[in-house]
Formats: sequence, C-alpha cells, structure tokens
Amino acid sequence: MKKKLIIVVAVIALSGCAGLTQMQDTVTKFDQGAHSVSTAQMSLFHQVQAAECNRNFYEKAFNFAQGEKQWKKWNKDKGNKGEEFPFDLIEPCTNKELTDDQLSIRQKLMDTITLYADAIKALANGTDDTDLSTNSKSVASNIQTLATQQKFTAITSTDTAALNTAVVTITNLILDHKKYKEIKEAASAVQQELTTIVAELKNENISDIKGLQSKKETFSNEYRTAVLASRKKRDVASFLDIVDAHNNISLIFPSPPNADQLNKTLDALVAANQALANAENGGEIPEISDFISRAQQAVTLFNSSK
Amino acid sequence: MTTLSQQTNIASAIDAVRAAENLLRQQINAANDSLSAMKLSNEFNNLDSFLSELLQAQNAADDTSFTNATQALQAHVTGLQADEATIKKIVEDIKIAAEIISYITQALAFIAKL
Repeated sequence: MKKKLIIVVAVIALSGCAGLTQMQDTVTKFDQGAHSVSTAQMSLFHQVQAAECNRNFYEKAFNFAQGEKQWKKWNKDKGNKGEEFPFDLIEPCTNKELTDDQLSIRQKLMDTITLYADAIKALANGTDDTDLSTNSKSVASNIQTLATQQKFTAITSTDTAALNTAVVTITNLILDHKKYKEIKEAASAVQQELTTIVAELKNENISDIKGLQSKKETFSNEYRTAVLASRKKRDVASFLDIVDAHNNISLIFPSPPNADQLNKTLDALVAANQALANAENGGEIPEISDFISRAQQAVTLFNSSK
Repeated sequence: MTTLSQQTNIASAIDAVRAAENLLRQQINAANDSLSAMKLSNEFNNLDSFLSELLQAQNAADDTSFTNATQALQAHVTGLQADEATIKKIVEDIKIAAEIISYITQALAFIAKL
C-alpha cells in the first residue's frame, strides 16, 4: 500500500515536471522566434538605409556619365551658371528616408518585443532574473522613458498614442514580470499591445519594400541605358557588360525581400502569444511551432538578401 | 503630428508614383536606342526622388521634420509638372503616356491636399 502511494506521488510529481518542462520548452521556442523575427526586421531596416545611399550615389554617377549635356540641364535646374556637375566618388551618405535616429527608435521597438519574450522565458524558468539581466532591465527602463515622451511614431498619428501606450504597458511587464504567477497571465496582459506594435511594423514594411523596389528599378534602368550604349559601340562584346550588369544589380540592390513573408511572421508572433495566453501546461502548441518555423525562414530570407 | 488624412494622402501618392513608375519602366525596357532609354531613365529617376521624399514625409518623427518633408514635396511639384510635359514628348505610345501622366497628376493632387 505504501509502495503504491509512493508510485502515485512520483507519477504526479513527474507529470508536473513534464508539464513545466514542456512549457519551458515552448516559451524558449517563443523567445527564439521573437529574437529571429527581430533580426529579420532589423535586416530590412538596414537594407532600406543601404539602398538609399546606393541610389543617391548611382543617380549622380548616371548623371555624370551622361556628360556635358546633362551637366548643363542640371545647372539650369539648379539655377547655377557654368559649374561642373558635382560628383564625388567617395561622397559620404546621410540617410533621410530612414535616419539613424529613426533606425534607433525602431531598434528599441524590436527590443521591446525581444525583452518581453526574455521576461516570460525567465518567468517560465522560475529563475527570478537570471535570464533577465540588469542590462536588459535598464534597456527596458530607457525604452519606457522614450514611450512616455511619445518618441515612437506610427505611420498614422491616430496610431502613435496607442503605439506609445503599448510600449509602456509591455515594458511595465518586463520590469515587473515577477508579479505574474503564470505565463498565460503575462501573455494575456500584453496581447493587445503586441498586436498594436505588429500592426505598425507591418504598415512600415509595406512602404519600405515599395521604396526598395523603386530604387532597384532605378539602378536597373540606368544599367540598361548604359548597356544599350555599350552595344552600339562594342557590338557583341557588350554581352560582357550585360553579364556584369546582371551580376552587379543583384549585388548592389538585392531583390527586396518579400514583405508579405515578414508580415506573416509578425502575425505568427501575435498568434503564438495568444496561444500562450490560452495555454494549459503540457502539450505541443501548433502556433509556437508555426511561429518559430516562419521566424527561421524570415532570417534566412533576409540574410540572403543582404 | 500628422493627421490621418495627411498620412492617407501620402500613402495614396506613393501608390500613384509606383503605378507611373511601372508603366515608365515598361517603356525603358522596350527602348532600343540609348538616347530614348536615357531620357526615360531620367524621368524615372525624378519619380524615384519624389517617392523618396514621400517616404521621408511618411517616416517623419515630429512636426518639424514633417513640415520640412512636405515643403520639399511641394517644391518638387513644378518639376513634376515639367516631367509630365517631357513624358508626353518621349513616350511614343500616346495612350501609355496619358496613363503615366494621369498617375503623376493623381500624385500631385494628393500632395496638394497636405
């Protein structure tokens, strides 16, 4: 009888551990997915900056290559008299479409998501703050200060207030995550806020991809024009220029990554968090598997298009 | 801070410019001499510069940068009107030229509302 009781107690204890282990595993995957989607998203932002610099340089180079006629037109447009076309082969680039400050703010928006994922991972592990360093809490605190100053801007002003409120709520959870008893409680508390942030990121991604596509086409048009001139002068030898053109277009302006894929990954993040909000201990959560799979694909896609 | 209406106009202008670019690009790809391709490419570059300014306005983080971006867009209006005239001359297919101009006119109308 005593032996049976010990077995029953052991089975109950083990099943409890299995449930916890399963949840820890699930939350670890969610955390990995959040970091991956952040990497992919930042990769797109960096690509936006690089494309603007390349476009500015090659547009000037194309004008310069067109010769004196184009210089005269440029001077006329600018109201100059007789100045040469300004063209510096090592001109430094200053981003205007997505400035360094704006990039920094977007980095902090992504940090909000990854720090949240880190916080619920720490909660799942029950290890207090071993996984959430002092540095992470300091970053979260700084982000919160920026959000209270309305520094996070959305594409539409009506969304800006909601976006900043969302960041404040999530950073509150990061800083006070220990007050939550369960993962589902924490996940549920920020579901709406994550949805708000993701909606903003998705809108920006769609615009960014349009800008990237336009810049790539601009460069391709310039190259095609040059190849036509080359064909006229070099006949079939211009084939060599065409090969160079094809390779250089892909190298300098990689194909804009599929915004739809990145946006579906962001949607998967929201769906995964909702699944955590509804989850009971134990059992696979399909939304988490879908999220991590999409996040890994997004990282591969965005890294390959760098 | 920008209003919803301003941002909607910027987004619509972006779409109109992209539509004009797509048609112009077809003409560039069909061009068989470098002079025509050069003229068409220069027009495409102008549209791309305009698109870049629209994206700057869309990403503007505060009222000052939005005002600056809007002023840059307004300053571009005369240039784009000149581009319309040039496109009419250099795009051989009259129907396509009219379509391109129609998209640019739409973009200008959205900018006028800012």
